[in-house]
Amino acid sequence: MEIIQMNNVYFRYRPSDKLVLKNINLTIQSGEWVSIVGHNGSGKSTLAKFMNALFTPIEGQVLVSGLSTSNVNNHTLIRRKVAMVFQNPDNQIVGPTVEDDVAFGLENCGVPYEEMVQRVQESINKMGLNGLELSEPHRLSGGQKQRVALAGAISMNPKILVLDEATSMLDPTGREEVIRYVQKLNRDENMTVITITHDLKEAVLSDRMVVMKDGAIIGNGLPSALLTNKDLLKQARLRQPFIYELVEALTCRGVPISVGQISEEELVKTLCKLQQQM
Amino acid sequence: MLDHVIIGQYVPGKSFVHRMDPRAKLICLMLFVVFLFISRHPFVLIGGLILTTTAFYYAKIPLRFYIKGMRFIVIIILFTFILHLFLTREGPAIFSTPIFTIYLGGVTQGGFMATRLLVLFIMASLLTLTTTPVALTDGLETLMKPLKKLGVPTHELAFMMSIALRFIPTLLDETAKIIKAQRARGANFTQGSLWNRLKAVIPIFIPLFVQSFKRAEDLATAMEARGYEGGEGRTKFRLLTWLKKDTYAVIVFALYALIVLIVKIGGGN
Amino acid sequence: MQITATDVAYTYMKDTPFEKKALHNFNIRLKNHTYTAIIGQTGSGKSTFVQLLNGLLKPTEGEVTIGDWKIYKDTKEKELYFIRKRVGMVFQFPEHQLFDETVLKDVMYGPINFGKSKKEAEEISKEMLTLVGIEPDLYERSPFELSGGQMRRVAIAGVLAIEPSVLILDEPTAGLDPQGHEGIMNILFQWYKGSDERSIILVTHQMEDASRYAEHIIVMDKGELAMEGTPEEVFAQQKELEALGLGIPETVKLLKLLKEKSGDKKINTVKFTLGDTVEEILSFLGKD
Repeated sequence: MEIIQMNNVYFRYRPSDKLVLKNINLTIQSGEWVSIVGHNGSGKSTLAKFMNALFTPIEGQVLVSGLSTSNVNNHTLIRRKVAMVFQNPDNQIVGPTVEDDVAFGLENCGVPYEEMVQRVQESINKMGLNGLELSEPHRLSGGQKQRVALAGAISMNPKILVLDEATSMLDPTGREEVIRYVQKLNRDENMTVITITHDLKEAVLSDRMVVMKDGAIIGNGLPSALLTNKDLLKQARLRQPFIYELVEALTCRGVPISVGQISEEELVKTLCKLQQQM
Repeated sequence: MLDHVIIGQYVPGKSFVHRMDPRAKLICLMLFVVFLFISRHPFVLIGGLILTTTAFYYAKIPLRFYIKGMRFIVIIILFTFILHLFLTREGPAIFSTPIFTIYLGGVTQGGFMATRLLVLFIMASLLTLTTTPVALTDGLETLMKPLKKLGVPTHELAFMMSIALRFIPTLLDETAKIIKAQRARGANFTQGSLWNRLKAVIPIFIPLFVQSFKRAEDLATAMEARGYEGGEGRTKFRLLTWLKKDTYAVIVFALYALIVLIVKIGGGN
Repeated sequence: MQITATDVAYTYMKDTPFEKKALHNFNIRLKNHTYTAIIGQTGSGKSTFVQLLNGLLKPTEGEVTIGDWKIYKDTKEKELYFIRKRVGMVFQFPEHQLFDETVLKDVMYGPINFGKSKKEAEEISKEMLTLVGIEPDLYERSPFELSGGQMRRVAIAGVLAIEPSVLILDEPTAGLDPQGHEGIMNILFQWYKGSDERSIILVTHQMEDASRYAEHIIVMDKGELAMEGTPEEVFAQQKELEALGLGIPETVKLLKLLKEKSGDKKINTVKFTLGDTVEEILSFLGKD
């Protein structure tokens, strides 16, 4: 089922500015994990903000669960379906303590007290934040802060979760932490996940990769297929992940490895087999 | 440098006063402040002293925490005392020089005013020492509710306070970081003329403003994304629970107020 | 300049209920003209340590020496000023410290503070802006109009313009995209190579950078020195690094996996470039 549809979307901030999005056509299926990649300034973060009506197209349309974002009356409903986690962990936590912040969205839509307490606790548990309920945000690590933001997002029982460069300011541990929880939401709860990132190692984990450059989509397909396309990556000013570089270099040197879905484990297995054959 | 700024001087604990409803604490403090200053009768001050001592005992907060925040207040108290000492011309003279004379009335008046300020300060500290800033905000918001009918944006005010509380530590960290970065670039905030020192502050304030605006913008976007549409139709996650002991505490302070009133009317002082 | 730390300890908010030991019993000696990388998990004391090196923090115990300068508990602010002239510091997200009306003026702030004349400051600032790849047509723009990547470069130029001998970099590329990252790492390396009086101390979470650029690696854990040595020495101790919650470069990781799976003890896992890794795999396959 199509959950997000973008048809011929164009956008600029002010009439005098140049276009930041050009003719975007993108369909996202329910339960999919789509990563949108591109260098800084490619328009990927702007695109994300169309998914919950923070921006609306100047031309074309965006449908979320069939609701057009161009109709202001749909905004409240759309924002309940699409939760968003942003880049800077410090700038999105509103509440003075973890539990207050997780409750913020629920308070906004008037959830009754008893239900609210239960949903807050559930979300906190799901994000592994037990014991930190009363902690103040500035005492948490970056990864923990982003998990608080995630907990706040999922407490609303959204259909779609958009992560707008949510891991780019974290250290490797924090990054792993956040991605692990997001992966779990996608797998176990069938949540549609959209991650905006320039980290291709993160994009490899997704079902589908969308490559952006200068406000346009220049690639859309399986990560394994796009990541072997050197020209495309070069155009997008992205770096091929190490494992892809390695396979390519080995193939050039006459090692017979098929280029397909590659993981470190698979490559090592293939190499071991090859050695025995020789 | 900024490490030592402790915002709100809350000292965690589980004492009777800690566990009181913030609304009850606020009401008690308000009653206390108003009625302590309404009359100059010594009984009123003695009553105030008794109440303060009792509250101090039940709060179980070591004296040093009061003293820590007191330096500035002590100056005010001393100033008040000295002012009264020299300016009051009542009772017999007890000390005399060609320039000034000190009267007994000055000593008692000064002592009276100083004690009154001290008692007031201790009582107010008791509130901030035993109540988290968040709880205080909650208490204020509910107490201010009646003002909403008069058009006062009580939800917005309380929400602003709560966001300020959330961001003060973040901004302090940020300030410390900017100061360090500019010092690494040779900035000197402690030497030179006043004008130069003022100028030295610009490289701190501008980045801080720029960053704060960026934060505010991000925060507004995040709040919008999380469905914030103002106070209408919002429910509250934080519930304040009013217990019997809160009622008792308020009754005690109300009794004090009543006694003060009787003294005031009866004594006409 | 040679840098040493002798029995250094640092405690935040000493003598308050919030006291926190960030560094203790820390000893280190860095030779003149070295590129050192400091790795360790968040909270391991890396940032505290580098702030001691230019007197932004003073050790609560022990002493740090930078060339002939000493920093200890009672070092005067005036002396620290001279130390800061020799030891430049690029913080995380350095663009957050930009403030002046124009790009050029902002870069000149440091040199002028350190006693350069306006003319000298302008000259060196232009030189450094060229080094970091900022075109002259941007000099008179407001730094706040630039893109994120450009702002970062201007901020770095602002530190380079002080002409320090030691440059401390606290995750200078955090948040940048891969191309921006590589650009800045190369600029900094180029600066380092520009004179044999220069040293770099890089705090990083990226093991690839540590292995690619550094000659010496310091591993920190819980405020203590956990390990040090050349990249080869440090990354050979994979088990120990893992126990500290630290990663290893991708190349090493793959070769290690291959070594474990194949049982071939001859595999040298400590290779840091793509080319070397390919050669190692080819020799494993018997395809020399």
